[in-house]
Amino acid sequence: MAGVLGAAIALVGCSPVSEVAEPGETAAASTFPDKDIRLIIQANPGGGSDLSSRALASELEKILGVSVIPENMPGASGALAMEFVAQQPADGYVIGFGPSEIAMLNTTQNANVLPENYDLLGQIMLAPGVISVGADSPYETLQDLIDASKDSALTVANSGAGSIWEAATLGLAEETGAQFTTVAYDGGATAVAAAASGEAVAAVSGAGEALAQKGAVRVLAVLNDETYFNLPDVPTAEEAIGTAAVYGGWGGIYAPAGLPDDVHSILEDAIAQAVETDTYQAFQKQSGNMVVYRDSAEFTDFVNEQFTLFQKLLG
Amino acid sequence: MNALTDGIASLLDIQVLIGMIMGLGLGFLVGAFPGITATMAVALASGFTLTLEPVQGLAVLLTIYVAANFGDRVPAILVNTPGTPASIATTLDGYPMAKQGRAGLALTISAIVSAIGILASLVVFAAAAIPIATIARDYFKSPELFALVVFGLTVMISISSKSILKGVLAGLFGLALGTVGVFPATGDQRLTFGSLDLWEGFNFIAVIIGLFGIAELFDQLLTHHKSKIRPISSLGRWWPNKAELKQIRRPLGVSGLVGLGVGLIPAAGGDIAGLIGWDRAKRISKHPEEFGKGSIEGITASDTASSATLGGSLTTTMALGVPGDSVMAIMIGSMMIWGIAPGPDLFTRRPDLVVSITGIMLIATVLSLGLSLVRMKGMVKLLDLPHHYLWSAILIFCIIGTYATTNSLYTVGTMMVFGVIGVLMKRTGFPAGPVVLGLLLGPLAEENLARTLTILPTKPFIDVISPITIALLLLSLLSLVLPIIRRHRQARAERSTTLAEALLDRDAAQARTPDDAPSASKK
Amino acid sequence: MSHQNDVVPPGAVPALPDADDAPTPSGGHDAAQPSRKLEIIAASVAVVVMTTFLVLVLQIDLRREADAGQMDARFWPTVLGGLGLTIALWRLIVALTQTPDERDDLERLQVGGVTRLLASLALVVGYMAIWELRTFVMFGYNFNLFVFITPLLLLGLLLIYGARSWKALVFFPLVSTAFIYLLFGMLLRIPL
Repeated sequence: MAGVLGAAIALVGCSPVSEVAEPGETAAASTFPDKDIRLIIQANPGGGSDLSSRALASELEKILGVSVIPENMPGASGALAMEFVAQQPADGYVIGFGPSEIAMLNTTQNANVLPENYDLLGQIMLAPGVISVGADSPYETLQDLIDASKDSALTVANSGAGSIWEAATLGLAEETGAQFTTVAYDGGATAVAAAASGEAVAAVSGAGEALAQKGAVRVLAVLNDETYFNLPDVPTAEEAIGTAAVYGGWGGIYAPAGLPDDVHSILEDAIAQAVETDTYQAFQKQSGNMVVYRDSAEFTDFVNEQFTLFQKLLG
Repeated sequence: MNALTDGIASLLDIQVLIGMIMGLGLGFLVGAFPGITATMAVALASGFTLTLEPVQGLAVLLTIYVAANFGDRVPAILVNTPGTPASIATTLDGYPMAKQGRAGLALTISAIVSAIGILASLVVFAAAAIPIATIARDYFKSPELFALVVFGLTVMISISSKSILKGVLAGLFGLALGTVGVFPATGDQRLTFGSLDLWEGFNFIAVIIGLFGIAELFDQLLTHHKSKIRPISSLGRWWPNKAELKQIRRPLGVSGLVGLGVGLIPAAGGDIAGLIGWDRAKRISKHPEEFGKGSIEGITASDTASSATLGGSLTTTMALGVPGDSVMAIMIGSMMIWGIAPGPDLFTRRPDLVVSITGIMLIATVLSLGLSLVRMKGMVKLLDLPHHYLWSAILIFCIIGTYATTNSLYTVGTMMVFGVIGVLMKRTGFPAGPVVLGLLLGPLAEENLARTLTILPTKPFIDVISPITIALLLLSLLSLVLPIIRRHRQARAERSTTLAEALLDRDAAQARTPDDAPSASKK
Repeated sequence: MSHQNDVVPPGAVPALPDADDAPTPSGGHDAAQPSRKLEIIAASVAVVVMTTFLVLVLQIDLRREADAGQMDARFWPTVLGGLGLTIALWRLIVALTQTPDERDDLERLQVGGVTRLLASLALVVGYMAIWELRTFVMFGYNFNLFVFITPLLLLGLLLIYGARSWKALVFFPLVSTAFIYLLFGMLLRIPL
């Protein structure tokens, strides 16, 4: 009977108003969550952010016992969604998927997106960066490439000015003294294709994009602190040139700043559990991403570090 | 041989069939619904197909891709509203045909040539995907793409039906609109006025629905009167006769090649191909003056070209691992999760899958053609609805469809503003086509030029600016200059003979120019 | 009508058409008449639009100056603006000196047409303003505004467009709204 009634109510587009907790009253919060949670995705359906978020959402639903409804809010490189979430009440019912842009958009575009606007709940994935050259390129190792760039600057393709991969290129150049001229393309795949066709000498992209064009490009190094499972023979930057260079497209879950402590820890634990599930792990592996988990405290430190780094590289 | 039988055998599965039927219905529906694109439908469906077997999932997604390419022609022809951007050029001749009471014929021809376009492009995919895609990548780099885009921009001359100046101004307006947003080469914000909504520029779908669909609706609101006799849609033939079938051969061949070529280029899709194909067919046609006024050749050209991009995009995607268009970008994501990453080794490692993909596309095309031909009568009947239903339905569907692209009312506002701009342009004789062309191609031109200039100092000049680039730029110059000279001469000749009379008696001058459908009166 | 671009308040529109597009007594011909005034106004608007664009473009802030031989964010729009202004001025000269373009592909404006258009626009703008509120609370329930205002919008549009039959005014709005809500809200899960 209740089900029929519920369905009928849903059909005319209404839902019960949840009881709003009095300020300072913790009893209501301890029942968290007692209604649907909105998970705001900063990109269009079908992309990497969207798929990762949806995979996590279906695990979170099982753990939290309420619906976690993914909602796409594309626009302004994600700033639209991030500013939207920051303005929502800090009750845990609106959370978002935050990619590396959350630490960049303030620097690159002056957006009102600052780490302190958010309760960062945990990192859930990492798409490690790689540097690759065309299959018929004379450069066999990253060291060859860097040495050659010291005579005259080499072109390095990336997915656009102010992107994580431009930052990675600039960072690598700074740490090694290489001279790289960044060339902006309209996406990671086309940037890698430019290296494959010889238009640019090299490309810095996500591992997945380079992997998709395996055969046409040679991956010189993984810009991470551990080997990438899909390319076990490719050295990390540190193994290749002795200088650590760690850049990647990471993603995590965030909420508006100032969540009540118990809501914060319920969400943090749920995310930690969801990331551990076999389905989620298998999904990310198939997508070519690594599952790198950081808890709320570690993730907050990490985002702040990245924020400073991007300010230095892209500011 | 083994791969061939394996690939076909994997299609003989009831689940594949069910998937295709679902994809067919969904694709047709979203295609016909203005605003919702195949990209969006495939993205949403990919959430459900991930749990299926790869071949079953591909059957659903590829069928949506194909069917949407048929469904989107329906609103373009019937109400001047492109269902998806790929059918922008369809409105150029399809809608005039419908206004002349030849909607049935327009839909039939559109469906047939779309099917031919897809099937022809599939042959290329099946026969020589890897070499062709590799050639496209290695010989069409940023400088060549810049030249190609410039060449595409010259199309605005031929879609300016009357005044070239007005057409070029409209085109520059579109190009100017295209500069709004963050410039990807430097990350600078341009003309965003601090609004987050403008970062990524104007929403393309909202602009085209506004300029075409809403503007046409507004124009009808302005000009409708009760006693007006509407063309009765049930009159008129459905099936092209022999002479018409012969007429479509030339545009079919030319625009098919255009579509295939454009499809191979990752950044360009059916929208651009349709416009370029239409332009090329017009330039070689014996009756270029009929283009834009309900020409069978025109609708053949636009729809063959935009449909032929499907095979081209598929080729680039599967052979190189570079998404050929936005639908394919999503498809790559799904395929990776199924563990069948596209790329050159797909053809060596899983040739059976290549056969299956070709088979699915082929069957989907045939099914879509069948459904189009069967459903057509019902579709055209929609035009016989009393105008108050038709207008209200167009307006609300455009609003909802546009809203669904971003889940934001801002996009709906964009559509309404461009509807107003569109009707003002229409009343003053400024064509909408060049605006769309400029908005589509402007960012491509600028970004490719910026890349070319970045690369230029690092390499010898001739390695960057290839003979292909130079040839294309020369061709663009010719395309730009020749029609202007020709029109200028024509106008001068005409003016010297008719100016005096025209000024004396405007009505008489008007009576001499048949105001409607020369092709219709001919038959 | 139609010499204005979007910056002009829509209220100013109806004043103009009468002069240019007024129904001709001759009848028979339903095509719009050529009008020099219309061409001049349209060309002037184009000049204003292109000038505004050029001025705005020249004020774009650059994060970094481009190196020699490289493109900055101002280069391309400046070229477009300059070209656009040139052609708009050219067009203005043409409009002033030559016979106005034929408009036989356009139909003539009809009495009440402008009112019909403005009423539809006003209705849609009002609809969007209310929709933006998303939900309202009554009897302890959150109601989705969309499902209530959409039939009202359709009802209003039907009335403007001349539908008078009782059945049309009730059924069409309800059935359309139900269809949209089921397809978009429930099936595609779009937050309406």
